[in-house]
Amino acid sequence: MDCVFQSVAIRVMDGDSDLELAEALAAGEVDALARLYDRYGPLAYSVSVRILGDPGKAEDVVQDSFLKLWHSAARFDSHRGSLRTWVITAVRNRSIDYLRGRSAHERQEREIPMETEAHGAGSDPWREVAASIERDVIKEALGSLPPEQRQAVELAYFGGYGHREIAEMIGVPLSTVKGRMRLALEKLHSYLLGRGFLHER
Amino acid sequence: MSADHDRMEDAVAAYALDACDDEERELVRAHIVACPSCRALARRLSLAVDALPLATEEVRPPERLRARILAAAASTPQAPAGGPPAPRIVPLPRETARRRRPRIPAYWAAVAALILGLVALGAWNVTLNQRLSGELARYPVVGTGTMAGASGTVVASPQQAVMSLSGMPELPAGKVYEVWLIDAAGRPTAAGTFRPTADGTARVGIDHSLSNVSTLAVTQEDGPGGASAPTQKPELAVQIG
Repeated sequence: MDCVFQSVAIRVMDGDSDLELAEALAAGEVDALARLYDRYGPLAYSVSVRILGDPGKAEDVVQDSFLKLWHSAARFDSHRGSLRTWVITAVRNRSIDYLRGRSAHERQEREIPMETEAHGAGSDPWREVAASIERDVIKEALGSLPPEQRQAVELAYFGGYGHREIAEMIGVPLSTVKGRMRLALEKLHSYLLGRGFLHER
Repeated sequence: MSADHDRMEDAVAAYALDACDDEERELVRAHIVACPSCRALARRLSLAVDALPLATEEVRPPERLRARILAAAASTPQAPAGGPPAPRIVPLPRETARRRRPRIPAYWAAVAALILGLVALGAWNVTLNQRLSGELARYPVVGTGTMAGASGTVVASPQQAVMSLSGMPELPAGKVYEVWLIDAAGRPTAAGTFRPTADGTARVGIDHSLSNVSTLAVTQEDGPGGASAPTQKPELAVQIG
C-alpha cells in the first residue's frame, strides 16, 4: 500500500528563533527588523492604541519603540523573557510615558470603539494559529475574573496607574488592591498553564 | 524578617504589573534575588502579565508605519554594542521530510503497544478533544513511563497544527525527538525531528492536516535525521481521531 502522506514537515517555533532574530538585529540586519515588525508590530500597535486611545499617537510610539529596540538589540536577554515580551514592554512603557504626559483630568479609563481586523497576509501562519488560541484563552481567563480583580489588572497594565492611584481612584485600601492583583494574576497563570501555553512545572 | 518578607510578597503582583512606587520596586527586586519562593511567584505572575497584550482588540497598523520604521533604521546604523553579546545557540534542524514506508515488524509492535497503553490510560475517548472557537480543535498530550513528566497540547486548524510541550526530558547525546503521524491502520509517517530548549519546552508547527491522523506520537531516535520507523514504544502520544 502507498504511504498515506506524501511528505510532511514540522517546523520548530519560538525559542531559538527568538535568539536568531535577536542576533540578526544586533548584527544590524534591517531585514531582521522587518521580520520583527511583521511578527509583533500589529500586536504592539494594538496595545498602544488600547493604552493611548489615539491611533495617530500610537503610530509614533510604535515607530519610536521599534527604533529604540533596533539600537539596543545586543542587550536582549532571552533569560529575562521572550522577544515578544521585549517588544511589547518597550511599546507599553513608551505609551504609558506618553500618557502620563497628558494633563491630569484627561487621564481616565475610556471605552474605545475600534474596528477589529485580522493580521496582514505577511504573518507567519504558525504564530497566527498559536496566538489566536492564546488570545481566546486570555480573554476567557479575564472574563472569568471577578470584575474588581479584572479592573485592578487592567487599570495597572493598560492604564499605567500605580497601585496607590488605583486604591485612591476606586476608594479601597492599598492592601486590597494588591490582593486583587495577586488573585487575578494567579488565576490567569493557572488558566494559561492548564491549556498548555506556559512552559514550566 | 518574616513581616518584611510578607510585605515584599504582597507587593510582587504589583511589581509584575509595574504598578509599584519606585522605591518599592527596588526593594522587591532586591528581595526576589534573595528569596526563592518570591522569585517563583514573580515568575508565575510575570508570565500571566506577558499574556495580557493579547487581550486587546486587534487593530491593523497603517501600511506606511512599516516603511517608516525600516527607512529610519536603514539610515541610522547600529550604535556600537555596549552590552553583553547575544548568546549563541546550536541551530536545530528546521525541517525534515520523509517518504519511505517504515519496515513492518518494528512499528506494528510499537504502535500496538502504544494503542494498548492509551487504552489503559483511558485516553481512548474522543470527547477528550475539545472544539475551540471557529475551526480549531485542541488535544491533550499524554506522557507515560520516562515521559510521564511531559505534557502539552496540540491545537489543530483544518490545515495545520501546533504542538506545545513542556517537561521534556533532556536528550542523550546524539538523540533527537521525532514526531510520528499514525493513521487509523496504525501506519506511522515520520514528520520530522526536534530538540527541546534548555528548560524542557518545545513548540512545533505541523505542516499537515490532522484529519487522517489517528494518533500523533513522539519517540527518541538517533539524530540528526531520526528514523524511518519508531524504534521504541512511544511514551508521548496524542489521541486525535
